[in-house]
Amino acid sequence: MNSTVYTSALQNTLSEIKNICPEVSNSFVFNDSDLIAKDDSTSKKNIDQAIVAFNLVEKEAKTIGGLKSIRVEGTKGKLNLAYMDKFNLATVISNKADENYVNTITKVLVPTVIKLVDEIKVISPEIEAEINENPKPIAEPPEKDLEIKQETSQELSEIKNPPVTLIEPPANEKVEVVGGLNYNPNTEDNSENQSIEEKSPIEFEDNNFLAEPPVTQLIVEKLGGILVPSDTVRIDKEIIEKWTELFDGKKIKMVHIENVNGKSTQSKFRNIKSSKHAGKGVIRIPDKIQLELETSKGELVTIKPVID
Amino acid sequence: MANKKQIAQKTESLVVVENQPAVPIEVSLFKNLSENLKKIRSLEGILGYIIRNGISAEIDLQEPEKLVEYAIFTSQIVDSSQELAELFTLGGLKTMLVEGAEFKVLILIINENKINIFMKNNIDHIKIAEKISP
Repeated sequence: MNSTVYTSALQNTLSEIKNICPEVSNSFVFNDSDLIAKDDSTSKKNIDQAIVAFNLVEKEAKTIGGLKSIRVEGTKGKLNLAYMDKFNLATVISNKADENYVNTITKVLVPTVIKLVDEIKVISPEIEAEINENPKPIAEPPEKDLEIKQETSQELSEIKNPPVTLIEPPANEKVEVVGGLNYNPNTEDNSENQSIEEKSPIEFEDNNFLAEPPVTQLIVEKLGGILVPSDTVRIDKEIIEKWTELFDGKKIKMVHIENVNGKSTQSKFRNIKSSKHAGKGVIRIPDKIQLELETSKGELVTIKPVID
Repeated sequence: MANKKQIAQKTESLVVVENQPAVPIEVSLFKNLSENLKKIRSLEGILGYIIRNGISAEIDLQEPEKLVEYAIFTSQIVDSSQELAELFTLGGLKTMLVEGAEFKVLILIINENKINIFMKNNIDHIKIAEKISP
């Protein structure tokens, strides 16, 4: 934000001051040697000369620790100059004017306007910075994009069409999302919607509706014996039942096992038969798989089903 | 006859007044102002004063070593004020007040006499001006 904002705001303020106090014959605001704002009745030539005169006093004002204000009283009129934080306000009034009234107005109104402009100035970069930091996402990841488009088409259908009772199909069925809905092809919104439809796949693959395989953390227990197959781990019956329930109709033959260091393998699985180990949150792993996984008894591993 | 005599006496006395030289009036004014300044100098917060006209000058400052600095500063105030008075049609200069961060300066122009009074910011300069030139 440059000084033009101050100029515009202060110019109006000075005009208003003159309307309220007609005794104010001249008023202007300056900063160093730059004129920021002036009323209509004051010539720039006079102001420039006045600024030079003020600056000459200011130059010598180190004697009194810097200038705060100047007041000049003549036989016909008075001049007041108030040094503010950023700007200097000069007002000339006739001797008939109520000086206290004029001072009250000018010394309240002008600093308030400057403060307001400052606040706008402070807020603007913050908003700009916020916008820069958090730009609106242009391209979403495909999955999210799909969700948004689906919602958009749903919202549009709600607006344009009477409410339709939706029956949620089974997760493994192919679904037509918008094919059966009636749109007015002449409307602009629908044309946009059609383009969305073209982008979004109408038919969803079965896997899109499948839940993410749940990950379960278990403690490793040794599984040994002559008749024990070396390629099969044992896990709780409850875990297997949950998987079966979750992935209805899917065959789960293998389990994915991962150790704490990220080393992983897949193996067959069966439920724990031994009551000693059942329901204890353990996974019984044969030595061969333990070696492969670089894990051992008492260590933690995570398991999740491998969906075919 | 009696009336004529009276008139003649009055006229005579008037002539005597008109023939008084101008300088003594200025001198007496200077003396009066100087005395008033001496009185206010004793007040707390008054840092000093300078009074001068074409003939005489009197200085009483708390920091005499700053005399030149103060003189230059007040001279600049008067010069700039005169220019401002011309630019904005303020008429003949009467008083000037310059407030600084540390203290303020009140400049009074009474006839040919220029009075600079240095005082702390909390001092009521209007009362001071009234005491100097009632």
